[in-house]
Amino acid sequence: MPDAGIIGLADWIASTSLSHAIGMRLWAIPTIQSVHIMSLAIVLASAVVVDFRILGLMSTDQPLSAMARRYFPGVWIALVFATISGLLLLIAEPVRSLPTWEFQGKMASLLAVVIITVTFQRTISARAAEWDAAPALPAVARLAAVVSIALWIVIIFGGRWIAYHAG
Amino acid sequence: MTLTEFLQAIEHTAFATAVREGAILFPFAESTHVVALAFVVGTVILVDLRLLGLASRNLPVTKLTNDLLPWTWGAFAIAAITGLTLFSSTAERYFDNSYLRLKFLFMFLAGVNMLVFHFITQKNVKEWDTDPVPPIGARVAGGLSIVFWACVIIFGRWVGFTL
Repeated sequence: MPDAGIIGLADWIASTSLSHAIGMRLWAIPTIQSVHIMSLAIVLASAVVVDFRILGLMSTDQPLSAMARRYFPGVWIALVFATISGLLLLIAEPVRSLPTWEFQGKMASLLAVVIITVTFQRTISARAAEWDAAPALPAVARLAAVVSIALWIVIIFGGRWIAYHAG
Repeated sequence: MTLTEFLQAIEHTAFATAVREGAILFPFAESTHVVALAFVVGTVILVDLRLLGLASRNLPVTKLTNDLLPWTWGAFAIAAITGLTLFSSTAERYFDNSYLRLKFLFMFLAGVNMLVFHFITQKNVKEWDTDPVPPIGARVAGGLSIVFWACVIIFGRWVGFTL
């Protein structure tokens, strides 16, 4: 059972005028969802491309630090758009999403993958001298890249699964 | 066999029935579809932004496309398989859905745009491969691509609300 505090919060959000304003317009939710999907597409592609490079699957002739500088800014910019559109969807239908384990799991996974990505961004920059020329990256970095890919997939599954949540 | 009979035959296969009646298969196929299409559209946009001269400006265009696009096609195959899986579950209704038809129209336009770029615009790519801002033809291709794929996503999302 979701706890009463979260239900209360969801009910309160649902009573706000912004929630009503979005909910009243039939075109609003599909449109905001489309923005959300476009944004998460850029987040996913940019993040996974760097993960693939860390795993030695892509662009191994490119310095890792150059790949990180090229793609990580796109992760953060698109993540801002994904967060704003996601918040609007949450405000529009809080009772449907906020108390579900799918939504909460998605947010926990997002927090974890953001921590991994920030750590990657800092470490890749700090260790550019050794990592750019390394034929293979340390096992811990490759493991983190696999976890990052898995978390992005879990995040998308979690988002879609909210729509199927029973009860 | 008429088209309607063909669509009904698809729906009546054991596979389509399992997708339609099972609790997990449909959401699983749909979520996988979203992951795959997000990767397709995301990587395509990375290439489009390069063609527009807005990102990866210090990287040759062909280097970026050679590195990214094989993965894009792999993800496209997964999106197509999962998309057909969803379609099979209620083939007749999907086929009649105007939004799905519009989605395919824009996917077709994105494909034509890609072919024109590949076989015509890119012919003299050696002359501008390393230019931070490619010539107008390439920029137009990049811009159209983003618009067409955005329409694919918008109309695809509407399908779920109108079936």
